[in-house]
Amino acid sequence: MHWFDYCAPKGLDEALDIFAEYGERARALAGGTDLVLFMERGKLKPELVVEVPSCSPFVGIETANNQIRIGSRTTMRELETSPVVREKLPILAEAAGKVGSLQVRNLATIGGNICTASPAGDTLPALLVLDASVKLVRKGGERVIPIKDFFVGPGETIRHPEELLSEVILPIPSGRFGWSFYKLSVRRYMDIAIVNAAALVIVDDDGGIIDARLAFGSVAPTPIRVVEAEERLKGNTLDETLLDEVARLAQAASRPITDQRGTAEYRRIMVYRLAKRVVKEAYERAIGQK
Amino acid sequence: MSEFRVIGKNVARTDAIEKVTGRALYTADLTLPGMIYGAFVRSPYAHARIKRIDTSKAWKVPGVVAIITQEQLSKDYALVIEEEVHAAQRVRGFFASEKVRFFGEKVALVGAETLEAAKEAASLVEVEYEPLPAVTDPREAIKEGAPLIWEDREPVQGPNGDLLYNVVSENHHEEGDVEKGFAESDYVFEDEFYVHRVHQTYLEPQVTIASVDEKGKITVWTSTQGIFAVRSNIARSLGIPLSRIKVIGMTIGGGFGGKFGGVTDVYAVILSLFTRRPAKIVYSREEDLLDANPAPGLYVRIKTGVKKDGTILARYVYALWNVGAGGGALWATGAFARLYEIPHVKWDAYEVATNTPPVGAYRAPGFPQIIFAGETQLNRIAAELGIDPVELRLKNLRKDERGIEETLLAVVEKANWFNREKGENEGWGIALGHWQNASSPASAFVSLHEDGSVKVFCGMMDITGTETSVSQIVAEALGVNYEDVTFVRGDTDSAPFSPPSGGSTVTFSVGNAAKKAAEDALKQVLEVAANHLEVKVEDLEWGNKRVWVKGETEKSLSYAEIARAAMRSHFGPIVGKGSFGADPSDVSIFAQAVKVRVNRETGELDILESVQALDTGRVINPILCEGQVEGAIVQSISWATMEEMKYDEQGRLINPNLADYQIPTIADVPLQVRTSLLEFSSRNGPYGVKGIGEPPITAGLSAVVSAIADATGLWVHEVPITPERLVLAEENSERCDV
Repeated sequence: MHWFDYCAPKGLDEALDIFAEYGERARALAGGTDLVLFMERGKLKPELVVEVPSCSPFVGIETANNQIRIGSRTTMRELETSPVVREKLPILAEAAGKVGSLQVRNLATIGGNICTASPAGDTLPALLVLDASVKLVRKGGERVIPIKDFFVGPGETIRHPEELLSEVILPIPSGRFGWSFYKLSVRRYMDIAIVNAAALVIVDDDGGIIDARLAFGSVAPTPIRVVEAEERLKGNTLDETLLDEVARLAQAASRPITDQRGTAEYRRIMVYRLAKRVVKEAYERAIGQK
Repeated sequence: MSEFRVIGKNVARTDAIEKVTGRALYTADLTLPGMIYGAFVRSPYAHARIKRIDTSKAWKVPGVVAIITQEQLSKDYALVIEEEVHAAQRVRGFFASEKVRFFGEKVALVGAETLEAAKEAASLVEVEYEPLPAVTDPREAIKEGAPLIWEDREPVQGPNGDLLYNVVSENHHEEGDVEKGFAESDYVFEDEFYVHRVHQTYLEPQVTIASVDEKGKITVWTSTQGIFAVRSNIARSLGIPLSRIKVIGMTIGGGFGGKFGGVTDVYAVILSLFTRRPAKIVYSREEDLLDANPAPGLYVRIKTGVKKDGTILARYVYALWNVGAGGGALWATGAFARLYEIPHVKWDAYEVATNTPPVGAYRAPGFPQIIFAGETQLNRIAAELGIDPVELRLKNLRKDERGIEETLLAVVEKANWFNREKGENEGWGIALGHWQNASSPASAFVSLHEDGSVKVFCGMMDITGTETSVSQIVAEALGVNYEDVTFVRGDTDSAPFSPPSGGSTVTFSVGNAAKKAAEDALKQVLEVAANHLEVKVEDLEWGNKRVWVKGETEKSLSYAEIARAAMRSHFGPIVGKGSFGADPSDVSIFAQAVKVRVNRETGELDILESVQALDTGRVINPILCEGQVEGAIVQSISWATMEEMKYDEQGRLINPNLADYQIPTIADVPLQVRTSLLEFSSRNGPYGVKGIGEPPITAGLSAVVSAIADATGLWVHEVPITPERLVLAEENSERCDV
């Protein structure tokens, strides 16, 4: 039997005091779509469950200085439907819309998806290609970490137990950019990804690739960026040979396992195919931009 | 259909409002004073010897009132699960004692004041195991050296003289001489097919409350397809007379064959017998997937000899049914041959024990699996011979039975089969299926109230709308409106015997009993009216809740007046009684065409269209009928594309939850579904009714797999064809081509 206390601090400072005191004995509750399941299965046994306050900096989507700031309590449904996110960060709106069911998306939050750190978390490859950073706050301090450095292993991050993830900071892509996101799953809806793939490509006036970012979920212990493939793309225009090369680099960077959702063999094949697919689609969308 | 007042109309279901508003009372909703909760200790191994069970730590948990293992049970107890409608009977121990034979098998049952205490105590029961190698695939289990599930069983002789291990029963059949048939054939095709085990995945997990009173009378509230089946299972399992057991059927949240009892009900009774407290056992979804009698898996090798023109001369099937740690799947094997005129037919079928859960019934038990093999191979033969799959079937269908060809042609017409269109990566598949309907003994009472309204009383469990269809039958037979009829479900103490709702037998059987009861009531109505109007019964006519004298319509009585007159005369209240025996039903034929689009890059599928026809006999309620068909085709498509109980090398189920054991959402069902209902009446059904529930699940596996082959040129012999299986099959076939 697992008994726990629950509290709902009124603001940031009170929340940080609690986490400073309890450390790993406390867990943050936002949407609860992961936490409650983990507690039910005995995977997590916090002494204290702390409701993340529904106030600044944990809420809101704001634009300033070519950046978008998203409070960690922002739900998947809010991301999916936010006009700002849909216009400026369409890949994040798309990925958020692939999470669970509508009911889950009404509860599940971006902060939760990041901190759960599932290799299959749907928004994570999108956040990776958007070069997102996360702000971690603690009593008397804060730090901003690029999301690519945040994940350590399945369910493991660099977050300290007394830290709270308060917001996500995303630079707004500019210029001629295109994106693509693909969630591979057995079911169309309400499923966990077998492989997730995301790409963001920025091209110059001549169609040469200025910047390229490629990320995968569910093919390694953490969501991954494929830097080798990105470097190979930069400064080039896309053709079949380059696409094949890039996809092979992605395949080489993946370290898939066999689990109940798919074998390593299938995942490896799909990394190759989906790399081609998302890079190509992102490139074509970028070219299509004036 | 115009000759009927009530039959053939889409009246609202009797239970619609209570279900939509959430008022319907399910077993889990009940709490009794003094009730305790049960939780099971389950095996973490698929196969292991039990060395020692130590309950001392578990007993220290506050609130624990009972910890029951096999050792504490009377030697006379044995778990008996009988599915009369599926001709299957299974007997086994309540708990694993010397050995566990599958992952999640029950080892002990803990009763406590709260569910939390019961679960905690269950986790503290210490069981020392000696793990043994496990086998979950029947193809491996038959081999020499395979782990033996039942160690006292000798190997049996296989068809080639080889020894087959772990066989628990076998069935052999030959008509004609298949060797001669193959010798006379121009071509002989041989294929292997493999079907994984799947679960019924009803909405409501298994649940029971049981209470034993001071006199030893047992009352059971449960979610079941048949209260009388549960009563007889409990009686036979524990050696208790039927009269000491009262089973109350609560609203049921689906069954599909998985709720004939034996999963929670007898255990709740045992817990109550041990503690003399009401005891509640509620399964989690995980427990349902681990230990609630899923469908058998099947390995088939099928060999078919044909002439150049597609005439089938001979078919042979070698079948290994994966029955887990149980049995009762063999009898479906012959279904592959049922609809065709084949001079030489033979099968050798074996039930093979594996370290997976005992089998139970699942909608048309065994038929979807064996028909998948037979029909898919026919489509491959058609493709190889360059004959249209419909033409191939028309050439070989049985001619002596009405409805087979007509049902196939109904699909051909609706799908515009001979001019079917398909785009890139799209394909069509077609298959025939059927269900050999049975009948069951049934009884019912029909009473006429003094205001002219009507009550039907019996013990039938309604899963699919059968209270509605039986009420329609009664209204029709008695000449009243549907709204005048109230259906009352009794318990096993109050109601006359009803069969379990399964095997597509219940509208046929209970419908017959209720119709007879209505006719008996009508006879009394006419006698009372004749007496009151001082005429002979033959001089009377009736309809629309009135009786009148032929040619003198002003001399008439309403049913209400007749009911009151009966009470004031020597007749007494009008109560009709109907009993139905075992007059046979007739086979229901089903045909289905499916159009798919395959994403060659990822292996993902779109099911674009499903067109089907069912010969179901007289249609009592079209919308309920179509609902049955649509539900069944969704289940078979899901079976063909996503459902699979996955075991790891140690024999552990790795997907015991609905995130990983996938069933479709509304986004995965066919974009377009079109159903035709054909009404070739049965001989003995009420108004010509046949079965509906099972037949429409029997063709979908083959239709989908054949459609994928049509789209890709690739015959995948294993279902489900998940995106992964399709991509790997394609990769492997490319490798082989090199």
